[in-house]
Amino acid sequence: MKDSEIIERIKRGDESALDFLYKKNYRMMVKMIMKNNGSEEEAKDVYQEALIVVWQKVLSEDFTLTSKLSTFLYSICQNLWRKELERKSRLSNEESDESEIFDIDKKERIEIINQCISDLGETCRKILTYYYFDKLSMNDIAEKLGFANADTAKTKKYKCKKELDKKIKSLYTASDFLD
Amino acid sequence: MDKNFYNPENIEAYLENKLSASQQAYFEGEIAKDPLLQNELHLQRDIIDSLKEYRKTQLKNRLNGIEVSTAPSYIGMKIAASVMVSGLIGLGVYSYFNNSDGTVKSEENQSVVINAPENIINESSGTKNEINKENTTTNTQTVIEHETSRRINNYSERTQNTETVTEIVSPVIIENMEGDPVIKDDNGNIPDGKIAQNTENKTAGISVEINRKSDKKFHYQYFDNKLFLYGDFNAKTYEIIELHPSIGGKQVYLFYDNNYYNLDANQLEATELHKITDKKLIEDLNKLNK
Repeated sequence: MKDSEIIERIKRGDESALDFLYKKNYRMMVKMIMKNNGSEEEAKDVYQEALIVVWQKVLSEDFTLTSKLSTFLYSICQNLWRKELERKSRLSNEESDESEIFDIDKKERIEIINQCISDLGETCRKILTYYYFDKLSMNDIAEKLGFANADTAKTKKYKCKKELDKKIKSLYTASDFLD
Repeated sequence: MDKNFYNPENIEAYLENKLSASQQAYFEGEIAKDPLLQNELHLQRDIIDSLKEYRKTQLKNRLNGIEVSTAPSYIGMKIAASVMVSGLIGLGVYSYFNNSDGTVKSEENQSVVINAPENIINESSGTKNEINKENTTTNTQTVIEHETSRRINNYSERTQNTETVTEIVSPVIIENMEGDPVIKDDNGNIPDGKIAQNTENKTAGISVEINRKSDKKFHYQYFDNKLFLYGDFNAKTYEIIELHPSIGGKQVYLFYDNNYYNLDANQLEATELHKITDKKLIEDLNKLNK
């Protein structure tokens, strides 16, 4: 598959293009990280993160590829691994990881949210995740999920989001009340 | 933008940086004044972030489910296998023997691994001629075409399924219906008539005749460029191993019933087969004969 074809498929939200890219570049990326003091497990994790960054970047409206896709992926991988190494060295210097000190309130809120996302219907979850993470257009969402048109997708998205908000708020208020 | 700042769409537009500079400034002014709006904003931010996180985890799980390895890629393996195989073939010649009712035996130690997908069956007629030139050529071509299409099929299958990228060339058995050994040259090609007739390579195509009824048990002789074996060789598989050392002439060995026997091409009279006892030679032959 050519780069242009992969990009075209990713832009439509075709996950099999991501699989293809993953397999194609796995060895090179993982080796690069392992050569730079990473374990295979770390390498795999960082490579997956990098690939998801590529996925999101390609899906963003203003994306244009200026190099080979593998070169692009490689540079993202390198950057992510550099950041990870910095994070690790900070941790080993015994500095308390202050950014990790989260407020309990927020933690609880996130738990509730995640619970509600899991409780959502499959279609709603797909619409919302495709919309917020993949940033797919309403047209693409409609096509992917078999809706009549973009308007249907838009209406459904609105309803799903409203339903999710409502559930979260009811649970959140209830837990507030219990405190 | 309407003035209802609690409208989720307005909050979303703000969170996703979709507001104009002036709208954004106005919105931020309102947030600063209104703690409830601040709460709503935090909640919406967490909801959107959690949805993103959910999707990201989903994609990561998808990737984790794909079988990958740091072993050499499919193409690399293929080349490596070809090189290894032609090396093997260059060094040794494996013969194959079928049992008397004409059905083909295929046991592992009889198989010849070559870079071809299917059994090549040479219908050699009579015992005198080695390999029918035309048959061989045709078969080989068919095999190549077939293999090409098989590779393409495999490739598309793999890109669709989430399977491993590594593939090992499947072993292939070369069979000869008449019990004549199939001789392969250093490039792994079955020699055609030209080579077989070449005076310098006279025995490249060894033809073998078994004489079970002879009173000479376990004897052999060469006659008219043909190997005669005396004894009940049909009971078990035999193999003819031909070595082409870089120095010196060709050496031919018989492998039968887990023993190796030296075959001297100049032995024109029937003589008893003698087991090879040289351990190093046996070891070398075993390596070839894996």
